[in-house]
Amino acid sequence: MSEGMQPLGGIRVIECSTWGFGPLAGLMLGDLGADVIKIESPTRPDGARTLVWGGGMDQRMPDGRGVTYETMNRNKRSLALDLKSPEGVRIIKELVRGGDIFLENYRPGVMDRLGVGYEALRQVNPRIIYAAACGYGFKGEETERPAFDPVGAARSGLMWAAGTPDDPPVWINRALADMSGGATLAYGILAALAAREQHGVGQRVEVSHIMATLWLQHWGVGNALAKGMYEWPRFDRRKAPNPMFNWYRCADDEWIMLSIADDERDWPKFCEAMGLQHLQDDARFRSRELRAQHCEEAVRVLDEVFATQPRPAWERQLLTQPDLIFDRVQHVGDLLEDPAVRANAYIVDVDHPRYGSLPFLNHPVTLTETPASIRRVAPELGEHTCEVLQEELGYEAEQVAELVAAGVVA
Amino acid sequence: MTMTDLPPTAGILEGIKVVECSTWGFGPLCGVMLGDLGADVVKIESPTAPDGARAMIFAGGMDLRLPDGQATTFETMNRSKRSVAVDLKKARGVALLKELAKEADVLLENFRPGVLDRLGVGYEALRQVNPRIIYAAACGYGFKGEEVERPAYDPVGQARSGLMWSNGRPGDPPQWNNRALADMAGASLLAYGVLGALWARERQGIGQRVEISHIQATLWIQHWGIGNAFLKGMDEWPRFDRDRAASPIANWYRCADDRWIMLSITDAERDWPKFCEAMGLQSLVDDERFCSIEARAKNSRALIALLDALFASEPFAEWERRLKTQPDLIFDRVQKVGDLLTDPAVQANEYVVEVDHPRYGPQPYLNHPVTFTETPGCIRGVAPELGQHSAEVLTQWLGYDDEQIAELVIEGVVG
Repeated sequence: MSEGMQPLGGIRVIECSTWGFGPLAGLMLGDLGADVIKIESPTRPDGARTLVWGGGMDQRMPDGRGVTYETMNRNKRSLALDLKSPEGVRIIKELVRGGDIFLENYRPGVMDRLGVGYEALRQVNPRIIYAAACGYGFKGEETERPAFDPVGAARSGLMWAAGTPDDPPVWINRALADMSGGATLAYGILAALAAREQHGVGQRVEVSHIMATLWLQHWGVGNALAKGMYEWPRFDRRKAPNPMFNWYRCADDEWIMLSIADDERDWPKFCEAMGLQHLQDDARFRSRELRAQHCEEAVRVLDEVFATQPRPAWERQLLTQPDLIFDRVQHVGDLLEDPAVRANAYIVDVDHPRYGSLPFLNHPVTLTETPASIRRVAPELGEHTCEVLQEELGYEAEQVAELVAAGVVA
Repeated sequence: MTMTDLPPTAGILEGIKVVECSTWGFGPLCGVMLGDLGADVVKIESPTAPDGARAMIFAGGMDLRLPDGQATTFETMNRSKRSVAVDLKKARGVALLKELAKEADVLLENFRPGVLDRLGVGYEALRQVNPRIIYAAACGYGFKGEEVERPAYDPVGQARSGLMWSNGRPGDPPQWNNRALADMAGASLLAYGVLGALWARERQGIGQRVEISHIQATLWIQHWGIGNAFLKGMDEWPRFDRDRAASPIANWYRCADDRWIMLSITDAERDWPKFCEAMGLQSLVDDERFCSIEARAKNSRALIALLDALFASEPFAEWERRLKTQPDLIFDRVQKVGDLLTDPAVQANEYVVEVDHPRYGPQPYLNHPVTFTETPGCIRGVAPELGQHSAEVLTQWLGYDDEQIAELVIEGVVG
């Protein structure tokens, strides 16, 4: 955990968000050095803290706490506050007065009804950037419908893009809608900060599950829209028109992914590296058109070839031609030993006060002069309540004690 | 869909100049995002060997050609930009790129690491002429380690990051996702990084390199699964098995009309009675096999079989009607791309907008992914023809006159 020059040093974020979408955006800003204060109810905190099942997986850490809370809330301070009390609303407004960003992913309308919606907060601080996430967008009849990640995956077409051509729709157990939503919202917040600097305006920044998941699929969805196609179908490896843009099982049951898109240039190099010189001028395969025409046969031939040797042997052979693009198909467990992951510190060990040293995904972008950093793990509920109220808002210890006694903060 | 106005109003990044030396999807979509926000994005391509996406015929098993033979990937990845054709294999072309970079705020590139250095326009060279430049670079494997100079496309990111083993059903072989998720996530995160660096430059007065790789970006969009697996010490965060879903009300089902419904009822304790009520399954609310989270997990196959049969008895619209009687229940239809154009939320929020394309007429485009209420992003023009803006940019940015430009064209430096 390092300090150094923080790109968002001095920026304050007030986060009222739960699960993954909002919290990941807050986490990214925190990684960049913003002071992120996460507000949760003392009695009904972020459900990710206690989630038992998610994605078919047991979410509990050894001590029973929800793992999702840990992964989504590093680099934040926790303020436990009852937003349903007038004092709670007053404290939020005090924080917003000195804040830069208000981040929320409640069901649209909830914050307004509590008196801390955009219209109320811009009265307190016209320069506030109000970042809001929801499932269906902030216009239209479905605005107030609740949503989780699978809504984005289902509605955006991602479930029909996941899996093999014969599969029913598939939900990818990575929460891609939440994750791309969080990342896209963080991008939007940085843009709004730039707009505030340049044009002097605060504003609302909005992202929905549907839109973020569409954007993540821009290549397939955008191409299908441009070509007037009803679907951009799932890739069928048995019929890959370019057999060198496909994946194969090796003798050790490990898979290799070929991504040789410049197939006219690279077919001879591929044959050479693979020891398949006899195929180079084979009447079935010697040109792009012929390979596409005989694609099932080409895939069958390569299936048999790759099955004769373990993956490291094929890697060695393919690396003799440095233009060939390929890689091994890895599992999560392979990442910790992956040399590129290690050399670039994509995973870093963080000393967790409860669990000891644990691997965390590092920030997704490398800023060479003002690097992001992981400075603290996910906070205990209300861990920083006193600190925030006293140091940031100037409350006396006695006043804090009164608020605690009244159940406003914890 | 509404037709966007071209050219549009001022954007957030108005006045920011971006020189883009990038091809395919990763770099180009990043340029699109900055262009949508109002930056002046000038895409540099070779007059003789331009971005391969312009001529790509097959990818992802699909024919990429539009009716006139042009490739759709170039269209989807290059709106909101101007095109300047410069031959970087000629010394004069390299010098020209340097002149443009001197005027620019951002240089964006996704060549194989080392290529621009060898041409004399890598970061070290450009910061000499422009210390405030933000040099945004994308590659496959990161900029450290033994694999730095390996070439990469999207599938490298999907393969190496674990995404291919999460895409599909248990028992499936690994599966590449035909939406180029590694390229797309990479581009968005690089745009985010560029904005972070612009902010740092504003506050701290420094330029810097911003780096991202296919592996890094694709890990990040899987943060939930991968981050959770790491913290739990697991070797895999397995694919979801709908036949054994621990919570059968967070699962998907086929309806009588062959449409699928996705249930995402995560607050299972609160919502189980509401779900039973809406579905007409009141008898199950207190059924001891299903009445608690633990009981449903234990007997999930029985409950899934029961729900499979039930959902198969009525079309999607009927289930939608019934589930909507309980507004807390989270569910939705599983759509295909073709459903998007008539999707009411997509329409109401203008997630897809129509742009009048000079060659193809009105075309549906994905809108900018973020809504800014005061300074909206928007599509500022369709993908440019190769060299469409060469003369215009050389005049506006560098003050070249017609004669100088004509000379460069004759020498083959500019196209």
